[in-house]
Order: sequence, then structure tokens, then C-alpha cells
Amino acid sequence: MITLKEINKEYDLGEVKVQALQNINLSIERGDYVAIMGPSGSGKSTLMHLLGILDTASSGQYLLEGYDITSLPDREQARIRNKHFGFIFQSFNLFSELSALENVMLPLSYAGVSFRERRDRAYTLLSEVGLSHRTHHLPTMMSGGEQQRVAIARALSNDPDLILADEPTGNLPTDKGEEILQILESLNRRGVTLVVVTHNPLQGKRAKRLVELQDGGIIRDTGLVKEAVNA
Amino acid sequence: MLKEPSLLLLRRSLNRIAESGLLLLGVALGVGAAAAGFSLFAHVQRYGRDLLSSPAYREIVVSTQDSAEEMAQPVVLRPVEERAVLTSADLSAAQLIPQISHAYVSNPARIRFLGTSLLSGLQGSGAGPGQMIFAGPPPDGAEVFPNPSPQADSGHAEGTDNRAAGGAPGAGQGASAEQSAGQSAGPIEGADGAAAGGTPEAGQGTSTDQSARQSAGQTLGGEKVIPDPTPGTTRGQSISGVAGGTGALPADNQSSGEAGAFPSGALPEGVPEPPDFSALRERITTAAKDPDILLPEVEELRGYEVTSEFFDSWNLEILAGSLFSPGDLENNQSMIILGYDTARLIAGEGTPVESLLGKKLLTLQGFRTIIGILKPAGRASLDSEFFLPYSPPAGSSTILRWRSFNTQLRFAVADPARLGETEELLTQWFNREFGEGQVVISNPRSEAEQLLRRNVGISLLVLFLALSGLFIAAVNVSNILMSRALRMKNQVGILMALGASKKGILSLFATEAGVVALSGSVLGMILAIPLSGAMNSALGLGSASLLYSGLGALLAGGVALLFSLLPLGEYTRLTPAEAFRDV
Repeated sequence: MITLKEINKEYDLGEVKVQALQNINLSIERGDYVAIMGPSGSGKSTLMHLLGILDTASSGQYLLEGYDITSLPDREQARIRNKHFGFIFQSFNLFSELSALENVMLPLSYAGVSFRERRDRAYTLLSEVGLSHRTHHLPTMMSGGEQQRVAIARALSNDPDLILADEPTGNLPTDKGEEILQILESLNRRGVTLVVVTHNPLQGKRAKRLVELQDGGIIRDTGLVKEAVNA
Repeated sequence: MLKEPSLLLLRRSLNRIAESGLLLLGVALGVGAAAAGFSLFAHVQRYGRDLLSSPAYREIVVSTQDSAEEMAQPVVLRPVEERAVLTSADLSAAQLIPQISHAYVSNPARIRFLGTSLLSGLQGSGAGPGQMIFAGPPPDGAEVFPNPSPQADSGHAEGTDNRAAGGAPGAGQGASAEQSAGQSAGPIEGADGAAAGGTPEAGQGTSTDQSARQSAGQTLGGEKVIPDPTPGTTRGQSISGVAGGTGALPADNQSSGEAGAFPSGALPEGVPEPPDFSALRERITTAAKDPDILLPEVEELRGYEVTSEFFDSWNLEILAGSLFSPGDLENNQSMIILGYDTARLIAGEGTPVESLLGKKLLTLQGFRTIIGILKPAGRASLDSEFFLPYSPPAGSSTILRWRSFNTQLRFAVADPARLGETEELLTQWFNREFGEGQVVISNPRSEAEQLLRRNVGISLLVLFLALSGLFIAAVNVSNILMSRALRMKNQVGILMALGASKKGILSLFATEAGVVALSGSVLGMILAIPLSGAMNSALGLGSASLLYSGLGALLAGGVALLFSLLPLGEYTRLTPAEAFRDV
């Protein structure tokens, strides 16, 4: 599904240049459940931004279903983010001015979906995450776990191929974090590709594949071991 | 139904109501001031163009000091010891000066009708010849023509309109000198210029006391006692010499010892006979039955006494009937030409104005036959007027003098640039004819241009200040929006992650800026309307134009929008990852 080839990412901070990622080669297949782990500053978030086309690599190739998308125009990249990817963040990133329902409807409006269909799909998604009774509540009136469930519903609104979750349980108590992980894993079981960035080794172990980063490079990729074994 | 991204911005604005209010207020004040300033500037320009395009500002006006004071156009008055008497014969100066395209007389005049009060007074009193129409003083501003006859009961009725009667010094003096005779005499129609006591007839005709008569006589022309003739001097003096016998209270009148200057039954030639009220009553009765006689439901109409070239000079065309023929002017026929609005007023609603042709207007003095109706001139001041034929004063020197004092000669040029040299040539001619400083020669255009330059200067200053205000307001609005943009950076990153392109983000925030600029501009225009009205009024430019205020608001709103869009540059440089780095 996604192939990164010789990806490098360098930040130019004036006199100093920071090499955030170097020689990243990574392939993610449809249905994968990948955990990306590593210490702070290892390049986890940068890798996730590149995977989600929120940023562009300084060099290397990004192939989505075999197509190099690095040179696509902004509008096309936005369309891919909207249609194929769903994002979940540690701090939920819901819009506090919009209700839970409207937050979920928002990505659908960029997809050109009619109001009635947006509303109906948002209701369905919120029901699936157990929030049918909270549709008209503002995020500020909801608990962290509820907010993250709204964020999951929002990420699922356009029926994405890939969900990118950056520390999805980082701001949640353990029990609520477990609920969120179970929702995400159930999605993966339904065929949605899942990439989770985490500090938590236990969460990493629950993934089908673990990619460990250090100093901008991949130091361990269990997927490669499996490939080797299978080969 | 708003889409969620737009809903998001709307709710953010509503949640920060104070900030949003300041934004709107800033734009509104800036736009309002700029629109009002622009409106004033444009109005001053247009007003100046319109004013100077009027035929009145392509003329040199020659008048006596008295009549100059009454001119609508700005003139500089110089103190003169005035002895000149102007008549239409002096228009002959135009023949010697090729720059002059038209020369004519145009004297303000008014006609009084049988208004309700007069009718009731007439009927109620049973007034007959020798009785008064008015039981008390005349209405404020009405001219009083004391009766030249010993009965002192009837009024002179018709004439030119250069002086406010009751308000003129002569009027007061004349009346006080001879009790109520002057006041009670019915001012009926006509030459209300020299007005009540200001006319030679007034002083002489009503005074029984010599000092009173002298006092009244001095008011002739307002401190302009015509000196005794001096043979061999200039024409003005020789004319005044002719008139001098009465104008300076000649011995024959002073010694008459009668109630009036004119012996009973010996009215001078040209002085209208006092109305016979029995006949008048009979005329009213007849008129009420005769469809060809009109009794307008107005008390008074204002107009001009003109010579024929007036119409050409003002490009006035006849709608129905005809203009005055040379014969009309020579014979001083009782004719009248009506401006379009005046004709409509008299005809009444639903009656074509053409139907007035040939009908007679019953005035307090008598009948005037309507011989023509003018096409609408587009100038209210002309359309709502009437026009009487001017004829040179004839007959007694007394009549000659008071009418001539109120004669304004107008010399129009085709090219306004030649007004200056025309003025010089006319000055030379009139100085030669009447003596130095005997007439006021005015160039209204020159005076108007000075006033207009002052107005342009003021309006430029106001516009500059207003634009400065707009600039300051726009910069502040831009700063507030920039601050919003920076605060929204994280949200922009989320929107991009959820599928918003840069173009979509720009469009979203441009819409917000547009709404702010548009709402502010609408409020600004609402502010600009009374503001520009007040400024126009302060400069005497009349009512403000909504068009100019709207145009000014549009331009100022455009500037405000431009400044509101500046912060959008922040979003064009932003990538989703950069936005997320702060998330």
C-alpha cells in the first residue's frame, strides 16, 4: 500500500541543519497494524507526518499504491488525506466550537458529501463508538475518552484505508486507553490499516509489526523479520 | 446551510464578540469617514462644475448698488455714491464688445393673487374705492406701495422685486411718517423692488409732514438720493436730473401741502391707476364663471421681468405658445410666460399645461394673458418661475428712477475665459457713460471660483484626514486578523489533515475577511450618509448624494478588504506539518 524508499528529511534551522530522518525504507501493506516506537526526537512524528502526507521528504520516494505522490499538487494531496487517511492525535484536536456531530461531519464536507448524508453518517459513526447520546455536546463537555472516541469517529468518516494514530492513549487513563485501543484494533480486524505511534512498549507488543526508530533511522522492523522468515 | 468549516469560523467570531465588534467598528469608522470624505470631495467637484456651467456664471452683471445686494450670485460690493440710472437702453454696450453673445435685463419680480385672506378681507369689509384692503399691517415681507393719490387707499400693484418691502429701511420710515396709509395701501402686483417707502411715490405720496417726506425721500434707493441735475455731466446724472425734481423732494411736491406728492386726479404717467374694488369684486364674480379666467390658489408667484435675449441666453425653449415678441416688450403688454412647474401648479393635476394658453390670470392688479409655457429646463429655479416682458420705464421721471434703480443688466459671453476682458471693457464703457464707480459691475464667476477653490481645499483636507483614518483603521484590522491567523495555526493544521487544501483554507479565511469588510462597509456607509450630509450642509452645498457616499463606501471597503486579506499570506506559507508542530 505505502512504500517509502530512501527517505530523508532535513530541517534547515538557519545555521544548523537537523537530520530528522535518514535512509528510511519502509513498506506498509493493506491491513497492517504497525506500531512505531522510539525515544523522543527519534523521528517518530516526522515519519508519521510523511506517511500522512502532512509533510514532504527532502529526498526519496513515497509510493502510494505504486504511485509516487511526492510531486502531486497540494490540492491532490489534500484529497488523498481526506479520502484515504484518518488521523488520531494524542490531544484529540477536536474543534471546541463544533459539537461532536459537527466535528465528525467536517471531513465529509471536504469530500463534497451532502448535509443530510454527512449528518446521517456522523450519527452512525458516533453510535459505533458509543456516543449516540452525546452527538450535540461540545468537546469541552466530554471526558478525554469520549473526545478520543469522537476523534476516532471523525477519522473514520470517509472510510479511510489507513489510520495514523499519534499517541492515541497518551492523554487517557489506562482503562480509557484500553477502550480506545480495542476500538482501533477492531477496526484493523475489519481491514483498516493501522499505524500507531507510541511510547508504550505494551502497546507496541500488541501491534502486528513494530518499527523502532533511533536518531532518525530505523533500528528494528519486525515486519522485515517476518518477511525473512516467510521467505 | 453553512458547511462545518464556515460554521467553525462563525462560532469563533461569535465567541470572541468583543474582538469581532472591534473589527467591525474599526472598519465601519474607517470606511464611514473615508466615504464621507470622498462624498464631500466628489460633491464639491460636481457642485462646482454644475454651478459654473450655469449661464448665470457666464455673465457680467451691471447693476446699481441696491440691486446688487439682492443678487443670488456672490458679488463684491463697493461703496459708491450712486447716481446712475440703468435702463435696457444700456444693453447697447454689447454691440461694441464682440465677446458678448447675449445682453438682457433680468429683474426679479413677483405677482400677487387674490389669496384666501385677501378675498375674505375684500368681501368682509365691503371695501369700495378709497377703502383699505388690509385692516392691519401687511404680511411680513410684503411690499407696501403707498397710494400716490390723496385718498391714500389703494396700492400700487405691480413691478420689480429687488427689495424686501417691509424690511427695507425706506418702508419703515415711509410708514411711520404717514401713519398707516402706507401700510394699509394694498400692495397688489408689481415692482416690489424699491418697495414701500423706498419708492419716490411712497415718501411723497403718503407724507403730510415735510421732514417725514424728506426721510422717505432719502430712502429712495437706500441712501441714494439722486442729486440735482448738472447739465453737461454724464448720462446718469442727466437722467437723475430729469428725475431729480421728485427724487430729491422737489419744491413742487413739497409745497403741494396735500396728503400725497401727486395732486388728486393727476397721477404721473406710468403710475397704475388705483384699483377700483367694486370693479375688482365684479371681476372676481365674473372670473369665477368664466372658464378662460384663472384664479390660482396661491398667494404669490415669483419670477422675472426679462428682455427677449434672456431666453436664448438660458437656452429656454417654448413648450407651447410663444416667447415675447419685440412688440410685447415695447408695449408692455399684460402677458406672461410660465415656467413648466409653475404652469403645472396653476393647471392642477391631470390638466395638460398646454390648456393654459390664452387664458388670463387674475392678479390683484388685473389680468395677465398666458402666451407661452416653457419646456422643463431642469433647473428648479427656472421651472418654478414666471416671466414678464420688461419694458424700459417710460413716463414720469419718478417711475423712471425707481424702476431703473432695480434694473440688472446682464452681458453673457460664449467663452467664460473671456469674462475678465469683457468685464474690463464694460467697466470702461459704463464709467464713460455714468462716471467712475456709479454702477456695480460684477463677475459672479470670478467670485464663485474663489469660493469653489476654498471648498475644494477644505474637501481635500477632509478627504486626506478621512483616508488617514481609513488607513489607520485598516492597519489595525489587519493586525487583529493577523493575530487571529496566528492563533488559528493549529486549527489550520487540523483542517489540512482532514482534507483542506491551501486554496480551501485561503478561501475560508478570505470569506471571513470579506464578511468583516462588507459588514463594516455597510455600517460605514450608514455612518457616512449623515456625516457627509452635515459636511455638505456646512459648506452650503445642499444635500449629500447617496451615490457618492455609496461609491466612497465601496472604494473604502475595497481598501479595508485588501488590508483584511493581507494576513492570508500567513496561510500560504504554512504546511500541515508546520501547523502540527505546535499541536
